[in-house]
Amino acid sequence: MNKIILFKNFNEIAECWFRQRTKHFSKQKTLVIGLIMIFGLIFMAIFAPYITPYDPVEVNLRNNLLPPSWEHPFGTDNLGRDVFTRVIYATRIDLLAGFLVVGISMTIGLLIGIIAGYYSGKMDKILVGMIDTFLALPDIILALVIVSSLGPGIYNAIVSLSLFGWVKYARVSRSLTLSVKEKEFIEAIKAIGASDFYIITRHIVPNIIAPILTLAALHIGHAILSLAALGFLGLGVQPPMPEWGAMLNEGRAFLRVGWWLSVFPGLMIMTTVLAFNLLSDGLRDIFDPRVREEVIK
Amino acid sequence: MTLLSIQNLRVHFLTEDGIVKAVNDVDLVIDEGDTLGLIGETGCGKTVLGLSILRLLPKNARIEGKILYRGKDLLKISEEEMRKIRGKEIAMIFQNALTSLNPVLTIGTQLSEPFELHHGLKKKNAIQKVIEMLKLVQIPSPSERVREYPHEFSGGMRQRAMIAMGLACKPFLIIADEPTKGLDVTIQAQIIDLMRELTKSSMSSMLLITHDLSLATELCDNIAVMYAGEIIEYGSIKELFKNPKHPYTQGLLDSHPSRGLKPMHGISPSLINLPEGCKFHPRCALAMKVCKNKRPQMVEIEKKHFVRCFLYDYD
Amino acid sequence: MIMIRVENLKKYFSSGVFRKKYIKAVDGISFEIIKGETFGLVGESGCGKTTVGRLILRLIEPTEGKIFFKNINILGLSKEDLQKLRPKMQIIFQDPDSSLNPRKKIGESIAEVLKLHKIVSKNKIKEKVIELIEMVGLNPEHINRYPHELSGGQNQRVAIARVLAMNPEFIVADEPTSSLDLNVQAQILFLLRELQKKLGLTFLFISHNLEVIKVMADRIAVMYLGKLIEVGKTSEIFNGSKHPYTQALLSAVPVLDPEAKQKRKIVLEGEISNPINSPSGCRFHTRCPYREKICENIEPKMINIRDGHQVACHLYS
Repeated sequence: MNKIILFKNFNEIAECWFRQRTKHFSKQKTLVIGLIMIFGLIFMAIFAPYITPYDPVEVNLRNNLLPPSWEHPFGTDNLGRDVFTRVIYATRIDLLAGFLVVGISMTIGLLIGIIAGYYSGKMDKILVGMIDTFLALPDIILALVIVSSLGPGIYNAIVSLSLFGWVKYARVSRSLTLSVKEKEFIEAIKAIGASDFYIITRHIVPNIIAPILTLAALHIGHAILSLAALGFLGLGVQPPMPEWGAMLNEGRAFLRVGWWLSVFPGLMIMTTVLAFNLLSDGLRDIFDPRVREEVIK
Repeated sequence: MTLLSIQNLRVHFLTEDGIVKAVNDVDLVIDEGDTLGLIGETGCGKTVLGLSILRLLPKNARIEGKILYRGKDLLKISEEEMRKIRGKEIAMIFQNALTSLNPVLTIGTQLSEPFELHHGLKKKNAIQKVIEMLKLVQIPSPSERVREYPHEFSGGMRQRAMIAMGLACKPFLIIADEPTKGLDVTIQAQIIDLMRELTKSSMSSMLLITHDLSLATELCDNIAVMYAGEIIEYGSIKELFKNPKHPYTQGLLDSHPSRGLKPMHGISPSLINLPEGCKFHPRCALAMKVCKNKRPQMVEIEKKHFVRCFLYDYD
Repeated sequence: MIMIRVENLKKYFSSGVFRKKYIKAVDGISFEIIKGETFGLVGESGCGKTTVGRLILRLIEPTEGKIFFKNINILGLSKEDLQKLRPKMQIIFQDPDSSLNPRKKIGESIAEVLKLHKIVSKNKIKEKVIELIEMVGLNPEHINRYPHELSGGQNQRVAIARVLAMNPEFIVADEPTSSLDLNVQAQILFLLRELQKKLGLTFLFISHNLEVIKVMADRIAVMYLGKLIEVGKTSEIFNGSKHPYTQALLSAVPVLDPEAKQKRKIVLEGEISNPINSPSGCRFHTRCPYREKICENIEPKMINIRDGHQVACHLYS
């Protein structure tokens, strides 16, 4: 009797069976695709010299502005440099800078946010004031201001982006800490006699890290875009170092004779940001312990 | 006179974890003026049964069987017709009044909806009716209270407002799902008295869904005990408490604090992985060989006292 | 031996920024809990009983009053000394699904307690976890499950195992079965009683369910709006309660006997007052069927009726 089910329609039976087998695959899909793309980018960055035989900065005026071909898949730029090579070498800079900005911002933000959320009262009010002030300011404009006063260059660009990047982590981790702090299992562990440090590191952080990491993955894409924007304005990486934004900028003048100078760096930016967005989406689902164990199986 | 007759009802849900067999072959009858208690643990399918009468189930539900109400099969009529019945002839009082009421609308606005929808009253007149209803459920200063929001009402008052909403159109059948859950004892006593009075005066029938045995004793004429999606015992309240026949019913009564707090071992089966044969056999101290393989049928052992158990089924 | 002594305990919560209002959650209560007994604390929402439980364990700081655990003044202890004492005084919460860390397997949650207080050596931890799991009636294979995979009743057993891991002497059980079904409730209460007999535990059992308290508690204290209004042995309170509120409370309990349906009940008028605007004089006077003029102005003191049975009501002064 138990085996008789109500689904007259064969499609529905098949649908149910199919959904059971693949329920976690669809949630994993975005994560997996995102990860594959990112590993691809990292691979390119590390093994750049083995992927392409050309030198990214050597000038070769005889070969300038060649359209895409078998020898030069992305063509050459106005100084005869192979665009494909430059795009790949630029991956190193953009990825590294992106990770650094996010790493620094996340650490500072988490620290401030958790302390503000856990120890409410005066400390919290001061920190929140600080957070709100920074939040009111648009980060890229500030970055511009800082960079123009510090001077252009990749390190200054990273510093200025991190100076304002921490704020969103602080705000998110503070509100998450506030809500987790009130949960009964925190009260339970307090009753068991754990110190504040123990509670924060062993119980609060693991329960808030998921949305933070999701935010971070999204932020890397954003940081790379910001870096590219700075580069586009001539304030980030300086020539002859290859960087996607800078390449976009330099290619502007030659758009009519060599569209490939700007288009390929642009596509790289787009692909990288997409990869991190997919990673971010995938992470969001995987961090729920209800989903995680199935995925690991 | 029979008001509602449920025949061979089956409700299964299509979910990612498998097929949830919430209701399996349920037959139930509610007479006019009768209060029927549907008793069972959390997860036995009783709320689903209540919702299926009003066809308020989610899209992934598959229903089979008949629910006859005044000559019509509620499962076959159109949505249009069903909407005319919902709230007007058959009303539901939900479990958690706080989450069942819209927090951004005043009590007055929400409670006047049944009047506006079913009786076509204008807002002003509907609000008047609401004030009358609030008086009926003994909410003090009703004309001021109509302008308040749900969170400004205490738990007991909210529940009373829910009851008022349910009774607004003087329905023939009220389905009350755990109406006193989470309420304090003294407030619960008030609500119980109120419900008893209102059902008697309006001659409505009531289906009371609860796991609280004492609540059922206070309000019900007849009881149906539900376990793992099936009705396993049915009888008048006096019969059931004096003479429970099914081992589960006996165990449930014995686990009540006033009867010694003797617990039954084990937990209810998941509705996705139901055992073969009698659903209760894994926990039953009196399980026999036949219980493992065959499913017992409902048998009438005394007048209007039915059990689903091989201890009484001699075929 | 007196395990817990509470003297004139008060907890006021302040609300509002400009015109400070005080919520007098607990307003001067005193009682004692004897070693080995189950002391029941009964009352409805807003009466302060949950706050009392947390105050005794000093999970929140009292506004005024004294708390003694085996003659040690809890409030005088430093943070370190308090941490050292914590294993002896523990708490079981109402909602089992939220009192466990959702990201930790239940075996880890129990092991964490053992590690924190260095109760057993590292290599004996797994053994001890299994011992505790079996003591609360769970299957050892459950140690690798997450709380959301277990039922409410099973999670509550895990919470109990965690508490037992520390060999406590005194346990506050704060509505431990209120969110559980009847049958599961019976299982958990049965377990608690067995454990008490086996391990000689002392309980403060907080509940609004009088039927449960009747079966579990040796002595009962009834609270209303932050005050104790009656204290006595369970049999005394259930058979001969003195305070009008206690009487109303007892008569309001639905009875499991269909024949008794028609008995006269004391139905109180009105709602439970808001702890911010507590009535003057006797807190209960606004709903009391026996109120007199004196009740509106003067707060009644706790009087001994006989043999440990105390009431705070002008009817008896």
